[in-house]
Amino acid sequence: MRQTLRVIGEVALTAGAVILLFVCYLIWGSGIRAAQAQRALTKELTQQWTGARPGGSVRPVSARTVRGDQIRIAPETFGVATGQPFAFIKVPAFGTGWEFPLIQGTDLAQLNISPGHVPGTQWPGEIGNFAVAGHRVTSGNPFWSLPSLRPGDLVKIQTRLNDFTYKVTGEQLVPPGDVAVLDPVPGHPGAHPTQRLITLITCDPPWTGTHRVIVTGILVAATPR
Amino acid sequence: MYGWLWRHLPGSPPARAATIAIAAALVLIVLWFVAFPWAATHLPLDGGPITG
Repeated sequence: MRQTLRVIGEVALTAGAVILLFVCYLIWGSGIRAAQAQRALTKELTQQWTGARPGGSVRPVSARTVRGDQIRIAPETFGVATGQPFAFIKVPAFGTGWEFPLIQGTDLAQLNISPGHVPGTQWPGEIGNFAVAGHRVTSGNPFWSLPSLRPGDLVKIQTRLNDFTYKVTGEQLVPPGDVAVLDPVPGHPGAHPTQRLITLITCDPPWTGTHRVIVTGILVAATPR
Repeated sequence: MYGWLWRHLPGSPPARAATIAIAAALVLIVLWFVAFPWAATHLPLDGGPITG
């Protein structure tokens, strides 16, 4: 009996140590791992954009004034595969050093690397809703400060051909099942979009999936690069 | 469990301690670089995947 209890105690202590180590990994290790992956993605994207790798993911065409507003955008198409980078996101309100590569896809495999573009939503600059999701905690906590954004704050998206500037217009808290926030006209499924919107998504409270913070913005400027 | 391992390891006590240290280091490396990253992609600790 005593021998059995000792073995159970040792197994329990070992399991506890492994769980503690896993928590350490989530807090620090996942951030280190994500930072390494983000450096590689940044290098990959920079090489694509400078033409070091022919056959990049976008087709350059001449800049033109797009339909529906006066914002000049150099039209570009995005043919990126899941997990591949296609843009950078910067939020000046988070500090000058806050910048992450955006990758395609928002499964955990992608979110554990960098913020991702929600498949099925529009691309940067397009009419409709360009949705981006990121971890609030773990993997470098990219969207930790998302709930602190206020109307008027800027979100900058840099693609190969354009620098887009979105202005935050609002924030809301929704249940995870509320996918209407991803519609081209958020909250109005089937409605015909006329605006170029961005939606940033993360979880609230941290470490839970009970709610999602939704920050919405509208395109206010685009500079062909 | 650990007592049983210690008694059945060959060699002198310092050699056993070295063997255990190496084995523990290997286990930590596998956990940190393989098992934990895998687990992190399967545990929705921060809300899980976002799908449209």
